[in-house]
Amino acid sequence: MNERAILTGHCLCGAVKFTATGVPHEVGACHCTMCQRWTGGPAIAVKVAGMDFEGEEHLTRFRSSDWAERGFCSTCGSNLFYRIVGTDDYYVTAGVFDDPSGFWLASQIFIDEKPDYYDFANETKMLTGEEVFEAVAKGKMPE
Amino acid sequence: MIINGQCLCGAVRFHGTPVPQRGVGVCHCGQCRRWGGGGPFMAVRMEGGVTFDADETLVWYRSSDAGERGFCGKCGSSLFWRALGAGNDVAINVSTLPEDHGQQIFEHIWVDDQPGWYDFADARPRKTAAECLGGD
Repeated sequence: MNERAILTGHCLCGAVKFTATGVPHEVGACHCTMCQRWTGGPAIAVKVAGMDFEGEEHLTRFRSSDWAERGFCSTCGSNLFYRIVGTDDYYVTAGVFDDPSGFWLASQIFIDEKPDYYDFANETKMLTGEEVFEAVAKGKMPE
Repeated sequence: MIINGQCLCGAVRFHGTPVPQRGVGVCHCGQCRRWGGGGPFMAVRMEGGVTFDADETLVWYRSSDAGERGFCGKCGSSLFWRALGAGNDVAINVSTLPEDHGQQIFEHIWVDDQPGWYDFADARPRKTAAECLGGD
């Protein structure tokens, strides 16, 4: 994977800032109903190798399932990340980076939960929810 | 047609009537993409706003001189955008509503702020920021 060393970012109000390491160019869209309800559309995120926060006291982590939590700014509500609990697997929303140039949409997951009224024109890999869980069971989280 | 909506955790619940024959507006502005899920914020407008059935965890954040954004302080769901001084009119995260009320994309707005790495397949109107600010 073609990785960049470091990218910085912040929420809409600036209360939460972060430095992400090991940020790839590939971003993925998740069409699951939880991501849609949480963000107002498909969640488009990038899996990074590590996250270092500034202003963490403004960060709220909501446990949305047995295995994951969702982080947001408690002041402005910006949706910042989805994280597998107990790991450093952070999926950071693509809009919060200071320099999002160089991203490209490589994959779409939970494609079976995508509503009919929109489609991306991009050609990407596509996985159903079942295929995602099969991949996870084999120890391979989607990028 | 009154429909019910709620955030991810269910702490914020509301109901209202979507503006008839309008559908989903898709906003690609940088603020929406930073606030929401990295892609555009997809919203429907409710005629006369919404009535809250539960709003104890609802937080409003003034994101510009023009408007403010409402979210659930418990789960972080991005729920509402409303213009300041525009009465009860509110744009609502379409995914807080049931899927079966015939949503279709009405238009894409702020497309000059849209990054080049995603695009939508539909042929609905695309409006720039200047066209949006110039009115409907």
